[in-house]
Amino acid sequence: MKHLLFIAFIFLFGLGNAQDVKITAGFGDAELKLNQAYSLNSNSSADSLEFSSVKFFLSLVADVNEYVLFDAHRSSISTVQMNELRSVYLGIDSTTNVSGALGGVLDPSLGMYWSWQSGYINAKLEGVFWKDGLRSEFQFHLGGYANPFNSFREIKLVERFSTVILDLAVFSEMADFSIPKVMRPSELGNNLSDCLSLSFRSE
Amino acid sequence: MKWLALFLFSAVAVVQSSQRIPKNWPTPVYDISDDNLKVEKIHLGRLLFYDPILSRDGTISCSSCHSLYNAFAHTDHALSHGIDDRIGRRNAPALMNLAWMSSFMWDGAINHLDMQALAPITHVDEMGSSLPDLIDKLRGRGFYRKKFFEAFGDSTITGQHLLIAIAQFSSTLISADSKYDKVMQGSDAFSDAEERGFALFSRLCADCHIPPLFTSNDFASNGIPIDSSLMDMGKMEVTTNPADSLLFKIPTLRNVEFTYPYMHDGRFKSLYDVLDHYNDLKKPKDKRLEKIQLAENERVELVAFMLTLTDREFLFNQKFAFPKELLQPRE
Ligand code: HEC
Ligand code: HEC
Repeated sequence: MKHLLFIAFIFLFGLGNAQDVKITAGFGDAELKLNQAYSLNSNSSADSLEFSSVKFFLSLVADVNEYVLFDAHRSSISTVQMNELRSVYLGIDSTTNVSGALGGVLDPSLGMYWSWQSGYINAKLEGVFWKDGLRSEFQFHLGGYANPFNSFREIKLVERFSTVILDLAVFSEMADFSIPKVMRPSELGNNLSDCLSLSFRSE
Repeated sequence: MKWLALFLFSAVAVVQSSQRIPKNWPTPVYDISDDNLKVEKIHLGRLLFYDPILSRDGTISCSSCHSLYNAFAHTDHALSHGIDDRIGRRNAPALMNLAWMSSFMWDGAINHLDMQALAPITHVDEMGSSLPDLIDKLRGRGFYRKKFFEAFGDSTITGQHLLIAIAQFSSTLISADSKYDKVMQGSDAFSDAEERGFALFSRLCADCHIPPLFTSNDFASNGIPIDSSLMDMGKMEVTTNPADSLLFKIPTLRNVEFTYPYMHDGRFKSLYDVLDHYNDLKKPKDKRLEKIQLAENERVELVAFMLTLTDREFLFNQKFAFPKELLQPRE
């Protein structure tokens, strides 16, 4: 009897904590549109920009961890159901990075794995930007799981939330576009990963 | 009774998992027990290893650069020779005992045997393809859909399954049956020259080329100067740490008789060239190289010993050879 109660308790408790978490990307308060020009603040390193590709991994840490690959090309919102979600990270942790060939969203054929050097690409942001009338392309491929270039970052969340939003307006104003190609684990990649992880908000 | 059953069960488990691990060898890094390796996966990996479908234009297979008769090294070329006759930056290393290695490539860029095949498949100087393109091609072949189903119980071909199959085949390339091994097990004896060569080797070389694998899995500089046209910085290219400058993976010396040309850029053609290099070193950075001083007869003895690392069972193992199935008409 005592056992049964206990099981019932776990069951109810567990159910009570199942939640849908939505993951999306925006620019300020608006939904992100790919290939649409956005102008930036005067103290940003670019005057305006547009994104052609926005992809990133989030690791949702709970009793059973989930990995989400957000890809703005495919869908503007990803939804996962989580039990007891404890924390959210940008990217893929180091243990998973050294665990060989994995499946599902972690399959290396999805374009988020480096081939010449082992490791997941935690985020890919690509597009064009304008500075003083000059048009340039940018490609930020952020990743790296080993120190000193570990780009796995915790994302700060509010107490109760149902949506995690990457605000690319915040990122674009913080990021340094003067070196527009960052394609490997590096100091520059670390800095951009800092900017990117600080550009998430939850509500 | 329960205990007896448990005992028998665990005894069987031990025998099964150690079947592939040679006696007195360390535990491998890659799981080569029967829990992990499956005959169908290994066979699929072997088909893929020999099938030029892996390259963009169907001209290059893994075996174009890694041939069984050279212990899967590449003899004709100092630097690797890939698609469109493109020349790479490094010498194709021999492939054996990969299950004991904790990192791959001369600079350690690859962290797991599963992930290794990604590099040549996508490299512009090697096979010039991409994983999504290759998967599309394989999905169009009834032959491979069937093989993937047999191996993984799923005919949907994925990157994960492709890489695991190649890794499983690679992990079975175990060389442990040389004269050296037989001497260690007491079923053969060294000649006098080999015996003296073994003593020299143990004193001068075994700090880095540690038996039984004849590597320590570590990186080192063996004192060869940088080639100014290749400017290969070795491990530092991966870590960007200046302390890793010019460090290269210590290669195994098993089957070294057949893995020429030697070193990461294939600069030496013979074992005598290699020994001349070690012998002529002045003030090497790595202290382990300082004691190397070889008289003429010692060079001969050292080479005699290295030739005892040749494993003909391995070099002529039909399980590793080109699968004839690839020649038959198929979908
Ligand atoms: C064009 C020639 C070429 C082709 C094709 C090729 N390789 Fe290699 N392989 C090389 C070279 C060169 C290296 C060393 C590269 C480096 O260190 O950067 C290498 C390294 C390796 C290693 C690492 C060995 C070690 O000790 O670290 C493995 C394993 C390997 N290749 C397996 C394969 C497989 C499997 C394929 C087919 C999918 C393949 N290779 C196709 C040239 C080639
Ligand atoms: C300090 C560690 C160290 C010591 C000691 C050492 N080696 Fe090496 N050896 C290496 C490294 C590292 C390489 C690969 C270097 C490169 O390609 O840049 C190598 C490469 C070789 C190769 C080429 C193998 C191939 O497949 O390309 C041979 C042969 C060899 N060593 C033999 C010897 C012999 C014989 C001795 C003793 C006289 C010895 N080594 C001592 C570190 C060492």
